[in-house]
Amino acid sequence: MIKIKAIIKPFEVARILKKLVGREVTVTDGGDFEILPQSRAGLVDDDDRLVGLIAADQPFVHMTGAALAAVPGGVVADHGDELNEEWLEFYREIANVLSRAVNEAMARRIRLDPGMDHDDAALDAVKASGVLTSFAVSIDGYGDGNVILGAST
Amino acid sequence: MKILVVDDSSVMRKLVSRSIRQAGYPDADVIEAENGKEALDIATSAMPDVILADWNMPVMTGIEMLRALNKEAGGLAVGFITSESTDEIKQQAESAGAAFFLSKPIDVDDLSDALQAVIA
Repeated sequence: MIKIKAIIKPFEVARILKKLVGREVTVTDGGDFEILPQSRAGLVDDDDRLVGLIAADQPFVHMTGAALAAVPGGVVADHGDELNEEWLEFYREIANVLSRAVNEAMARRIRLDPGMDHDDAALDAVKASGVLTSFAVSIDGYGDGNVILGAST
Repeated sequence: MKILVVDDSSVMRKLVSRSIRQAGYPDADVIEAENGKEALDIATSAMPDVILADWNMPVMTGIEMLRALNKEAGGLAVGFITSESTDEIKQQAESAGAAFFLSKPIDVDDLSDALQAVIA
């Protein structure tokens, strides 16, 4: 059984993202949004049990991935709806570092599962038994997006 | 300055290389490895001035690499750059002789200070 020491706060997410992308970042409590399946990242404990998740919508994947890759914000705005695989790769490092925020809120160590291919059922189980926090994120010059961080209790 | 960057993420290797340049080492000779095992092979032949390693990696983790290096090529400076941040992990790194421990996301000033201390 995992114990949550604290719920992740928006300013913690903002601090991490700001340092990652080197831009002004605004983070507030968010709501429901459409998860991009490829964004789902599992968090596992030392016994490789799935105990947490990070997931985002496509705008979050695009803006954070592009910003980390130092792609100009205007390129993101002009990109359209097609998923950009390079930005997705960079987003995965965003997810990796964001896992630190979850880790610091937990009473034990967890880490990002490098597989990142958990199916809907596995992640739904985490969602059903966990503490999830949704964040609305805005990055200066890049746009707005949403991400959820959470872990099983 | 020759720096070996060890991370299973090609994206992270790019970001660390970028951070090295931003930290005041634009002419550093950066070489890369995907895991601790590959880094061991490279390090013993290339003899970098410093190794910047992730903690969690397949095949051989960062701490396993450091312990193996201590046996095979003692004296090489190894610093960790990782999303791990627990006291237990930091203690393990310190006990194994890590030169420094930096958390992701990388703070360029911290990296600069750490590299400066290694080459001083």
